[in-house]
Formats: sequence, structure tokens, C-alpha cells
Amino acid sequence: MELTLKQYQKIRLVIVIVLAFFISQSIVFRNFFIPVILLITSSLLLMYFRKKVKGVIADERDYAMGGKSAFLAMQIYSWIAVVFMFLFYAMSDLNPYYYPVAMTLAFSTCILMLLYSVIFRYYNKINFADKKLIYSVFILALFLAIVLAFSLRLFSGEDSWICQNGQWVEHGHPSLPAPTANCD
Amino acid sequence: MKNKIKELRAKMNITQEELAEKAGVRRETIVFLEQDKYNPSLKLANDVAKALKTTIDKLFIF
Repeated sequence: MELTLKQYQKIRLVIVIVLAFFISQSIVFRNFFIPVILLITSSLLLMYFRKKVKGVIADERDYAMGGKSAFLAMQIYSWIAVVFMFLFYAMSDLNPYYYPVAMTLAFSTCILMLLYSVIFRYYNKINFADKKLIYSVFILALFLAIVLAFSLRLFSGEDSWICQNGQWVEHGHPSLPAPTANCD
Repeated sequence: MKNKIKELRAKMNITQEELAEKAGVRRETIVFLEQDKYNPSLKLANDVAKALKTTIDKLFIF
């Protein structure tokens, strides 16, 4: 079975609409497992259909434009995220809910920059090196270690609220007020 | 960079779509090339030249 570019674009549109519908419903029902499964499934499906397309989907001009657009998008996002991060951080004394927003913006910008540097370095040097596999594994391990360190810091629960005997108890120095959800 | 793609394509009596297929690119890229709005890589320049049965130095005006 071969697909034309137009058929592929139609299939892609349908998948995006279905995905958007299920993700929005999952958020409403607070089920975050379904969107992850759906995202993986739809990515695999799109990869499968992409291989079935007869003809060229993207050529060197698309890749050149994509590279420039991605670079510009990253710069714009980083600037906006950093400015708003400082704003939210400065206002976190007024409202403690601003603090996690500021941290999310800060960490997402750091990870984006880090990812960009790793990929840039890969294409710049390692892709042509003799020991390509060793370099790639080392850089991937380093990147995963840094992401893991960030994640552990974020989700460590060192400064959070713990549910004990039907009451929210401070653990460390949480920046947010006690959760409003019932503690059973 | 100026080129003679449109002229040679007309002489060979082939469409942009056909040339794109032979060169392994999208039709829009041929449109951009013919309008001198895109400078191709050496590989693409060679592929287009081959598709038009000519050479890079005769196709592109440096």
C-alpha cells in the first residue's frame, strides 16, 4: 500500500484531531496515562505512514528552513521564558504559586539549551569522528545524568507537604501553602 | 545565484513536477530555484543538472 503526500497529510490531520480530543478529555478526567500511551502510538503510526508515502515529503530546502526556524524559535522562547521567570520569581513573595511557575520556566529553558548544545556538538564534530558510538553513548549518558539530577531535585519531595493522620504536615520548607485536597 | 533551469526545462518539455521527481525534491523547491530564491547545495545542483542533461557550470551562472 502506497500513499500520496495528500493522503498522508489527511491521515496526519485526523490523528492530530483524535489526539487533541483524547488529551483534552484525559486532562478533564485527570488521567495522564492515556495521553502518554496515545502520544507514543500516534508517533509510531505516523512513522509507519510516512514510510508508505511515495515521493518526497521534505527536501534540503525544508531542512534548511526547519533549522533556521528551530534556532529562532528556541531563542525567542528562551528570552521570553527567562524574562517571565524573573518576573514570577520576583512576585513569588506576593503569591507562592508563582514560585513553581518560575522554576518550571527556568528548568525548561536550561534543558532546552542543554539539548541544543548536545545536538549541535553531535552534528558539528562527533558525527564525523572515528569513535562515533563511544562519544554518542558518553554524551547521552551525561545528558541523562543531568536530566535525572534536575528531576530528582524537582520531584524529591524534600520541601513538600506530607499527609499524616488525616492532616497535611510540613516536610522541610515548602514554598506553597498546604494542598486543598482531602488528606485521608 | 542566477540559473537557466526554467529555460532548459522548457527545452526538454518537462514539468516542474517531473523535474522535481528526477532531482528528488519537492516541486516547491524547483519553483524557488527557477525564481533564484534558493541557493542549492552542491548535491542538489548536480542532481538538477543531471536531470536536465547538462553540467553545473552550464546551468548556474556564478
